[in-house]
This record gives sequence, C-alpha cells and structure tokens, in this order.
Amino acid sequence: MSAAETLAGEALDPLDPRYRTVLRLGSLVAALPLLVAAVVADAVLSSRFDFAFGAIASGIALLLISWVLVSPARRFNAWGYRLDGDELNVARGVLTRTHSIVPLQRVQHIDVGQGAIARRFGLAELVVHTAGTHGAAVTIPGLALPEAERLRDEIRLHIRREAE
Amino acid sequence: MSAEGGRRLHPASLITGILDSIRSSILALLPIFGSIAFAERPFVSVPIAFLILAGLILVPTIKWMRFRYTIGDDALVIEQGVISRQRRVIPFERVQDIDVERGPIARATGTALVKVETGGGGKDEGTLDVVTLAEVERLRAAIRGWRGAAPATDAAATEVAASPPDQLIYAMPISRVVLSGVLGFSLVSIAVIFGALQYVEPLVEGTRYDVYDFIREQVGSRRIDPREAATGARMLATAAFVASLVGAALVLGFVTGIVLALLRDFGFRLSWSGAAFRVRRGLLTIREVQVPRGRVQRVILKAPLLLRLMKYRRVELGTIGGASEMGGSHVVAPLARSEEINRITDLLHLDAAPAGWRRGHGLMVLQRSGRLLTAMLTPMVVLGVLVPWTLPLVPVVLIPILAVGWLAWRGERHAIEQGALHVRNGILGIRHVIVPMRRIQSVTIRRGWIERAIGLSSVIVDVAGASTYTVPVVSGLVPDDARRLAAALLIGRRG
Repeated sequence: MSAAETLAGEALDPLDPRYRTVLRLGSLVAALPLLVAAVVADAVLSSRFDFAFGAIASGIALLLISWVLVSPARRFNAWGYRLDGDELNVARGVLTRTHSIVPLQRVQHIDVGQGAIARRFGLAELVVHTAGTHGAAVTIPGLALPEAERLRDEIRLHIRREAE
Repeated sequence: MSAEGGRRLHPASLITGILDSIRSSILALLPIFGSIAFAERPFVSVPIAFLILAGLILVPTIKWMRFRYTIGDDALVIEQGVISRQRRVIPFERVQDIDVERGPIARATGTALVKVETGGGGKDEGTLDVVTLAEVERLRAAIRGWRGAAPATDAAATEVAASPPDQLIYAMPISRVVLSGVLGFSLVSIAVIFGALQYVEPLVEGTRYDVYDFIREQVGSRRIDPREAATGARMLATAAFVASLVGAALVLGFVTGIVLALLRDFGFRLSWSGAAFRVRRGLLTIREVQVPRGRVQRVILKAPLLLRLMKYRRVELGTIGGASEMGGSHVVAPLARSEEINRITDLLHLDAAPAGWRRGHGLMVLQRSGRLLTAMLTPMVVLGVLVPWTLPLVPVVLIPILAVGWLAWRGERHAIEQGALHVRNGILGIRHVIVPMRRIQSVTIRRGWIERAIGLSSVIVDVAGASTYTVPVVSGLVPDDARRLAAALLIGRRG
C-alpha cells in the first residue's frame, strides 16, 4: 500500500524518508526493555521448569525484530498529506485506514513541534486544531522542518485571507 | 471601552457567598467550637474562633468588593481576584448562549445567576452570581444588539432592543410533563433509591432494618434449611416478597421519574425572539437558556423506545458551548409531536423528515455484528473441530448475533437534504442527527479492518460541540460512494 492510493482517491505526498528511521528508532527504544525482560524471564523460567534456555526469548526477539524492521516501513507508507487548495488532506493508519479532509477555514490554531528523536533528524510535526470533536487535532509527523513551517505559513496566510 | 468602575454583583451574592464559605468550612470549625464548649480553659480557643469567623465573613466580602463587571458595546468584561487580579474580556461575538438560573432565594430577591458560554472549554467562563433581573435584561439586550460587523449598529441595536414579544413555539401542559416523567422512567433512579436506603438505615436507630439482610434472609433461607424452604408456603412467601419488591421498585421509579420531570420541566416554554430560541423551565429553580439561531451546530431528535412507541421525540439543539447540559446540547422540547418538531426545524431552515433516506450496503450486517461475531465465531469453530457434536450449535449462537446486526443495519440510514446531512440510527430507540453542512468541521473517510474485509468504508463528519461518540458517522458505503459523499459534504459546506 502506498500513499498514492488513498481512500479519497487523492494522490498524496509521502513524509520525509528520514521519518522511517525515526519510527524505527522509536520502536527500538520501546523494544529493548521488552527484550531484556524476555531474556530475564527466560533465564528464570527455563531453570525452574527445565526447558532449553532461549525458547521464550528467541520467539519474542523474532516478534520484536519484525516490529522494529518491518512495521515502521508499513506505518510510514500509510502516511500521506497534501495541501490542496483550501483543504488539507491527511491519510494514516495501517489496520484502520483513515483519510481526513480539513477545510482550512475551520482551522483554529496550528502547532509545529519537534520530538527528541525527530529533532536530531531535522524533522518536525504539524498539528492542526479545529473546533471539532473527533478530529479536533490532525497531526502530520515526519515533515522536514522547513516543509512543516511552509505548510504552517501557507495555512496561516489562507486563514488571514479568509478573515478579510 | 473602559472597564473602570464597572458594577458589583447584587448584595444578595455577598450573603450567599458568606453562607457558602461557612458551609464549606463547617467541618473544620466543629472541633474549635467543641474545644470552647468542653475545654477547661477556653481562653485560647475563643480568639481563634473569632478570627476564623471574621475570616469567613471577610474573605467573601473582599472578593465581592473586588469583583466588577462591565457590559460594554461589544464585550462583557469581568475583573476579579483579591491578590492577583484577573481581567477577562468575553467578546459578544464569541458568546454561544446565555443561561439564567433562578432558585427560590433568587426569586425572592429578584435576582438571577447568569452563565455566559463561549465554548472555550472552561467551566466558569463568565458567571455572574448573582445580579438583578434588570441587569440580566441589559446583558441580553447588549448581546442581542451586537451585530458583529457594522459600526452603525445604533439603529439596529435600538430596533432589536425594542424587538417584538417572543413568539411561543412549544409549551408543555402539566399533563405532558407528567407523561414525560413516566416515559423517562429509568432503572437508574431505582438504583439510586436503593443506594440511598443504605445511607438512611444507620439514622433509624434501634430498628436496624437492612433491606439487603432482609432479602438475604427471605431468599437465602433455603440454604439454611432445605426441607423447610422446600415447603410450598415458604416458596410462595418468598415469591410474593420478591414480587412486592419489584412492584415497589417500579412504583418508586415512576414516582421519582415524575417528580424529577416536574422539578426540571414544569411550565416548559420554548419561544422564538426572531433570532434566538429561549427555553424557560423549572418548578423551584427556574432556568432560562437562550440559544441564538446562528449558534446551532446540529439538531438531535431522540426517541428512546418508550417515546417512540408513543410517537413522541425529544428535540435537542447542539451548540459549541452547551457544556452545562448533558452531551453538550440543549433540550428545547422534551416530548414533541412531528408538527411541533417541524415548527422548530422550520425556524432553522431544516427539514425534520427528509425523503431521500439511503441505507448502507447489506454486508454492513457483518460489520454491525462484527465484534460479537468474531469473538464468538473463532472459539465456536475451534470447539466444533475438536468436539464435532457441537457444530450444530454454531448457527444457534450466530443467528441472534446476526439478527442484532441486521436490526442495526436496518435502523441506520442517511440523507442529504436542504443543505444538511441527516444521520439516523438505533435498534429499539432512534436517534436522528441533523448537521447543517455549513457547520462541518472536517470529513474523514475510514476503513477499519472489518470494513476492509467486506470492502466498505465509513465517513465521519466532525462537528463542533459533540461528544466523541455523538459525532455523526455514515457507514456501509462502497469506496466510490464514500468518496462521493465526502466530496458532496465538502462542497455543501461552502453553502
């Protein structure tokens, strides 16, 4: 599945390729403690219940490896965005696919933020807030900082034009 | 506009403020008064008690003295705070609705509590507790007179200030209030009563009557002596007891339902001022809410089963700031017939009964019974493979689940008419939401994993002021239809 074929049939732009690495590192950071816990549990249980050391840990390690290597790419591919006239399109989600369309006229305020890992890669996330309930905050992560700022400025310009 | 000077709240609010502060610190005061009464040397305690009492009177007094409000040309300004001053400006442009509440004390003193809602999420956004009725009218006139753009509002303001008397749209005679209480009967109220009984018991000293012990005694006695319990008389007595308990619970439920409805909706009146709806209701505490037409984000028509059987519906108007009400919406007609509903929706230029209803795709039955189905199907099939004779049981379990999914699918439909999206759903009761397309905040096409398996999509239509699960969702669309609906909504949004 690529960002090019979305639910609304719109061709969308992919996120910055560096974001794939960010996702991978994020998964890795989350996976390491789990791996350590699995090894410890394995050591304790294998001695007590008499089975070969590594049976549990290797299984869990396989799951974690696929989580770190395969799943980030899938998640990355699911993302897509495009500022199209006066509408912002954002697609996301692997299991549950969504494609949101936010009329810029409805935007209440805009945030550009940088997480700890993303900052090292020069990436930023754009958060667009509306007065709505379900999609009150639409987030686009993994944008190159200049791109995030460009989007923000363009949306801001649009809102200002509309107000006049 | 200058907020200097400004007005103080009505002196009655000073008295309620002092009473409130005494009430809230009564537990802390008790030991001190106790020590005065019983201590050997009360000399130390007496000054402390005096200091505290003085503080309890002084603090609200200073607060009251430091609270000022100004009704300006285009904003309400509230200044408050003793140590750190706070100046809050509420532009009339942002005011969603005004809520006026008058309890028995307020009615005796000719005052009211006013809440100005802006939809900013905070609880006490602009509360004036309390002001005279003349001030309420002045605030209303100022907000009504504000026309947003033009500086030449003087003429418009005076014209509106002298607006014609409100036109009555809907009223509830007392019989209908009672009926709404009966139909609003809920098991919740019974639970509340039984819960309350637990608290009452310790107060009834000596009797030591415990409802639950009694039930246990009656019902559980079989365990104590099976032979005795097996006798017909004993069982009959138990059955009679349980039946009378259920009967009492039903009566209690209806009575509380009626009492609550009378307290809440006595003298219910909905009127139209030419630009806003005004609801007035209440027996002891009279509440008055004003909802300007331009602030209505969505209309909700609800018919829980009992109402539906009697061909009534409840009408609610959703606004951004309707936070003081349950579910973020204002009830403007608790029990209404179709023609009464039409009178309300006509004023909003909406159609309460669209003709072009569309149902979702038939495969949606699987989606609506989805979670239960998948939860049951896998273990049933596994069991069927392991223990073959259970295989015939699979349909026995699946048929009722699919039947519920089918009913849910049948109850769900949508329509686009007169610039508004209609979404209706429900199995026993019915819920019909009307969203003027101009009010749409964003549109999302969604495909969950079940939806992907059966090739369907949903369209989520985000509106302001709804709670998460009241956001309208149109399901059972084939991808092309979902795309078309999303496009239609986004085009319709532009009006």
